[in-house]
Amino acid sequence: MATQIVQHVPRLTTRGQSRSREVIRRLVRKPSAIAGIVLLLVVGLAAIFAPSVAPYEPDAQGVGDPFAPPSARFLFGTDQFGRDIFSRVVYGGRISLQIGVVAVVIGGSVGLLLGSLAGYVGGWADETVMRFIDIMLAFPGILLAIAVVIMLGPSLHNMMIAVGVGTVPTFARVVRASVLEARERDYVAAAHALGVSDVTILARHILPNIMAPFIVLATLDVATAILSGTALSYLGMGAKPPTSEWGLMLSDGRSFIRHAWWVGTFPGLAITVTVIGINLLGDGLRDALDPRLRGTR
Amino acid sequence: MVNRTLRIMLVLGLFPILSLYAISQAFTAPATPAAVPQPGGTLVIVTHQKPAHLDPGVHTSRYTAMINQNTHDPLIWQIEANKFAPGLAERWEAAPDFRSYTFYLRRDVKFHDGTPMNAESIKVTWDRIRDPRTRSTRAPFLGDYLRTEVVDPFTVRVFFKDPYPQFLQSVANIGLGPSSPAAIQRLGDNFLKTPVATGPFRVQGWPDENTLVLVKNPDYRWGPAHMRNRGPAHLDRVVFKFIEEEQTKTLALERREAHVAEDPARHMAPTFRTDPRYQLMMHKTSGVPQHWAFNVTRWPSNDLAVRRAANYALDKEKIARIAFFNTATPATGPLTDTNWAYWPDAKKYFPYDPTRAVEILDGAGYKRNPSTKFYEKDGRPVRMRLVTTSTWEQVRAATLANAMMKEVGIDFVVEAMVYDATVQRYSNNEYELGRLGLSTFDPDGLWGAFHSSQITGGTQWNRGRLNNKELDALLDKGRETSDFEQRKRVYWQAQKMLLDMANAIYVWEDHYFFAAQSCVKGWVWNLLGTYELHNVWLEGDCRRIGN
Amino acid sequence: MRTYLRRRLLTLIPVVLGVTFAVFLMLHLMPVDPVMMMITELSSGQAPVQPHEVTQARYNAMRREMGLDKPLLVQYGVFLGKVAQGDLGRSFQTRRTVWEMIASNAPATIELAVAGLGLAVALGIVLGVLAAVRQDTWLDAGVMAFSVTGLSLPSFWLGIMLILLVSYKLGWLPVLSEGGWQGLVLPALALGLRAAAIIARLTRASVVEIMNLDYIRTARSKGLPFRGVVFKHALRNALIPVVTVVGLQFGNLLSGAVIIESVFGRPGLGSMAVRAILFKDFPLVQGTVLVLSVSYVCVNLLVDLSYAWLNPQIRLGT
Repeated sequence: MATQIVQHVPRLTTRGQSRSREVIRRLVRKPSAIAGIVLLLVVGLAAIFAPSVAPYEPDAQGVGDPFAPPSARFLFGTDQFGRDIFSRVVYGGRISLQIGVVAVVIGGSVGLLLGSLAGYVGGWADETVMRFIDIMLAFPGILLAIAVVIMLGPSLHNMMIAVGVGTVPTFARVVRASVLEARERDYVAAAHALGVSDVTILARHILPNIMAPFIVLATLDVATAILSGTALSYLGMGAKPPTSEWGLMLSDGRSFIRHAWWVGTFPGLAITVTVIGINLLGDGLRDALDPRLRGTR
Repeated sequence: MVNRTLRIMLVLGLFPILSLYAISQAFTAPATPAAVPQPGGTLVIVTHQKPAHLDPGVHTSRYTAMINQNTHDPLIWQIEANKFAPGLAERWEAAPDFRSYTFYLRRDVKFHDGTPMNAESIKVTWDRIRDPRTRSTRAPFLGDYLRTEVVDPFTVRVFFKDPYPQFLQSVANIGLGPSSPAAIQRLGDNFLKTPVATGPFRVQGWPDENTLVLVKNPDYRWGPAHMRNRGPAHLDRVVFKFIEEEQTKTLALERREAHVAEDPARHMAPTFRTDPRYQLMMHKTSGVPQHWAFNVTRWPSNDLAVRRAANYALDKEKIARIAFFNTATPATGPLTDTNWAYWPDAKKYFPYDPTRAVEILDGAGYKRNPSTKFYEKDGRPVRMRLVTTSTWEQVRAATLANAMMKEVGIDFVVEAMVYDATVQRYSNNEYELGRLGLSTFDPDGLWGAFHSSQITGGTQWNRGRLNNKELDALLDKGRETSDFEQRKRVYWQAQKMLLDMANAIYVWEDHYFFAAQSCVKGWVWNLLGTYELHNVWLEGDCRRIGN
Repeated sequence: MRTYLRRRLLTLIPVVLGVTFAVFLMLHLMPVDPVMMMITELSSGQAPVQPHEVTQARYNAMRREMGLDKPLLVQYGVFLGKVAQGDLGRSFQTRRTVWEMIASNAPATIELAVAGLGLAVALGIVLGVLAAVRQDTWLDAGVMAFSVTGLSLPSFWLGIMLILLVSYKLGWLPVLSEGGWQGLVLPALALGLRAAAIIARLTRASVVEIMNLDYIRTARSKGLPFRGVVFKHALRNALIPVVTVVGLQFGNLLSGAVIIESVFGRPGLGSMAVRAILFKDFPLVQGTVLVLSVSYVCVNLLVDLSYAWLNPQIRLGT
C-alpha cells in the first residue's frame, strides 16, 4: 500500500563510516527530522519501559470509576471497565509498534529477496518476479489482507503477516530498480571480469548500495503498516480484545466518542503521533541519504 | 358477608380487565392511547444488516423477519403461548392424529400484483419451500411434509408423514406466508429481492444497494383482530437504510435524518429514555438466553464444582449495567423469563456470591497457588478458555467476566474471533466454554441447544457436548407432546436438570434495542419480536423527515 | 509508441491470467467447505439447516453439480472458460448473478473514487503549488504539516470525526450519504485526504525543482509574470509524477473505500467485497476481486500511456 516511486538511487560512496556520519550530520540539521526522532523516542521509550511508566496494569479493571475523565490520577481518563487508559496506551505501544516493525521485516525480507533476484539475475527471473509482483499489486490491498487473515485464522501474528504481505511489491520494485542501476556500474563489471563470485558481488557491492532507498522505504512503511493494522482492527480482523492494541482501543472507543471522548481519542492520538514521527524521520532520512529522492511520497 | 362477596366479585372482575390491560400494554408499548392516527408520510429506519434477499420462504434472519412482517401475512397469528387468531385463514382444524391440518381461507385477499390469494397459492408456496432446488432454510418448518391438497378454491389441507403437533406455531411464522405464484413465475430469481405477497406494504424497490423502499398496500383489509389498525397502513412509504456504523446511525437519529434507529449506541439509552425528543423501543427476546456452555468433555469444565463456582462468581447485574448500560437483563436459566415454559425456580439457583465460589473450590480439593492466585489441582491451574464471537456484546461481557473469575481464582481466558473461526474451534473440541443464544418463541429451542444429536456438525449448537440420555428423552418428549400444560411440565423438568448440573453460565437476555423520534406513534412489537408498521403514524414536524 | 503499446499489452496477459488463477485458488485456500455452504447456505450466526442432516449422497451430488470432483487444473480451465464468456456465476447468498451485483454496486464506488481522487488532485496541486511558490514560509510549513498529518490519520477515525464535526456540530452536511453532492463531500474528503497529502508533497517537490531550472529562471528574468511562469512551465512538467501517483493511488482508493463505505453506510464494491469474504460467498468474492484487479491493471495501463504521452523524452523501458 505504500506509494514510493524511486527514480534515482543514492550515489555511492565506498567509505561506509564517513558516509553514515555525513548522513547523521544532514539528518540532525533538519528540524522536522529531529521532531520525528523525539516523538519516536518518547513513544518507543514509553513502550519499552511500560512497566515503570504505566501507573496501573493495562488490563486491571475497576482501578477507577467507569468513564472517569482525564485527571491527575488518570492522565487519559478511564474506560467503561474502569481501566486506566494511559496505562493501556503505554502498553499498547509495545503491540502496535511491533505490528509495524514485524510486518515490515516480513515484507522487506521477502521483497529484498525477490527484488535482488529479479534485478541481478535478470531475464526470465526478472520477468517472472515482476509479473508476480504485478499480480500482487493488482489485488486490492485490504481485501488481500482480509483474505490472508481469514485463510490463516484471525490472530495478531497472522495480521502482521497479512500486513507484511501487502508491503512486498513496493520493496521488490525498489530493490530491483536499485540493483539494476548498481549492476551497470563500472566497478561491478570490473569485479565480474576479475572472476569475483555473484554472491560476493551481491553482498559486497550491490546490497550496500540499495540500503539507502531500502531504509527509507522500510521506515515509511512501518507507518503504513501501523495504519493498515488499525484498519484491520476496525474491520474486526486484527488484535483481539482485551489486548491493549491502539487500533482496537480506537475502534472500541469510537462508540463512546460523545459520551467519553477520551476513550478513543488518546489511542487515536497515539497512532497519529507515532505515524507522524515515523513519517518525519523517514522524510529526513530520505533527504539525508539522497536529496534527489525528496518528495517522492 | 355481602361486602366480602362484592370484594371477591370486584377482584374477579378486575382480573380480566387487568390482564387485558397488560396484554394491550404488551402490544402497544410506547403509544399514547388518545392520539388520532394521521395518514401519510415516509418513515425512515436506519438499521444495520443488509439482507441478502427478502423472500421469507427461502431464508429469514432476525433482520429480514422484521421487514417481512410488514410485506407478508401469516395464515394465522399467534397471540399467546397457546392461542392463535385468524389471519389469512378464517379458521382451521387439526386432524386428531396431528398428521393433517385444514385451513379455510378468506376470499377477499389479493396479492400486491392484483392476483387473488387462494388455496392454489398456498400449495404453490409450500411446494416451492419443500423443493430442494429452492434451497429454502424454512423447509424444516414443514416437518415431514407429504403434500398440500386444494380441497376447494379457498380450502387447503396439508399432510405430514408423522404427527406434527406444533405445526400451528410454524404456520404462524411469516416464513410460511403465501407468495404470489404469478409473480414467482414472472420474476424468477428477482423474486428473492422483490417478493410479492399480501402484507400491508409492498416492496417498491431498491434505489441503491443500501436502501429499500416499501410502499403502502392501499387494498389491505385483512389486518388481524388484535391490531388496532386492520385496514391500510397510515404511512405512505417506509425507507430502510442499511448502515453498519453505530455512530452514524445514532447521529442520523439525532440530526433528524431518520425516524427510527435499530441498535444505536447503547450508552445513549438513558438519553433516549429521558429526553422528550426521543423514545426507546425495546423488546425482550424469548428463547435460550446468551450463555457460555461448559464443555463437559474437557478438564476442568467437566467438574461440577468448577462449574458451580464459576456460576456463583459471575456478577450478572454488573455485566448488564456496564456492558449493556442496562439495555439487557441478567439471565437466570436455560430459558428467558419471557418464555411461557420458563421455570420460575431457576431464579433461586446462582446468585452472585464469590465467597460461596471460593468455598466450593476449597471443598472440592482445589488449592490456591500463592503466586498466580489461581486455583490448582495436581499442579494444573483451573484455566478455562471461552471461545466466542468478537461482537461488542460478547467482548464486553467476557472482559468483565475475566476480572470476576480472577477474583475467585479461576483463570478465564477470553478468545474472541469471527463466527466461522469459533465454529471451527467448537468442532475441533478446543475450548472449555462455548457461546450460544437462541431466539425462539417455542421452548423447543432447548432441543437445539442441549440435545445430544446436536454435538457434531458445523454449527454444533450443543456446545457443552452434553450427552445425557435422560435429558434427551425429556427434550424429545417436549417435541412430541401436544398438550400445553404437559409440555410445560416436561420443559420445567429439563430446566431443573440443566441447572442441577450447572451446565452453563446463563449470562444475559437480549433486548431488541430501537430508538425513535418521539413523534413516531403507534409502534407495536408482536409476540414473536417483530414490529408491525401498519399501526405506525407520524405526528407534526416528524413528517418532514424523509421527504 | 506503437511497439511500446504492444509490449505493454503483452505483459498484461500473464498478469490477468495470474490474477484469475489466484482468484480461483482463493476458493481452495479458504478454510470452508463450499459444497456444505451451498447446501446449508450457512450464513454467519444463523444456520437453520444443520450440516449433520445433510446426507452423503446429497453432498456428493452437490459436489458433482459444482464441478468440485474434477482435478484442480480442469476446474481452473472450466472457471477460465466461464470467465471468458463473461459468466461469473451467482452469489451464494443473494442468488443474483455476480455481474448484476457488481454492476449495481459499482456506480457508487466509482462516484466515491472519482470524487475522492478529484478532491485529492485539486487540493493536492493547489496546496503543493502554494507551498512551492512560498517556499520556506509559514504557509509552506503549514502545507507540509497538513500533508504529514493527512498521511498519519487512521481513515475510519477521520471519517467519524468529520461526521461529528461537520454534520453533527456544524450541521452543514447530512449524516446519511444520500444521493446528491452533499452526501458525497465528507466521504470523498475522508477518502481523498491521504492521496491529497501525497500529491501535495509531490507537486511541491516537482515545482521547486523545476523553478530552479535554467529555462524557468530565464523566462522569469525575461519579465514574464511569475504566475504565468508557474502555470505554463512549472506546473505542466510537475504534473508528470502526479499522474503516476494517481495511478498508484487508484488501488489505495479502492482499499480506502472499504472502510469509508462502512463508516458512511454507503453502498459499493468495497463493502460488498468485505461482506462477501466474511460470508464466504465465493462466487461473489472471486468476481469482485477479478473485476477490481482487472480495472486496476487497466487504469495503470492508461496511466503509463498518458505518462508517455505527457513526456515523450522519457525512455519507455520497463
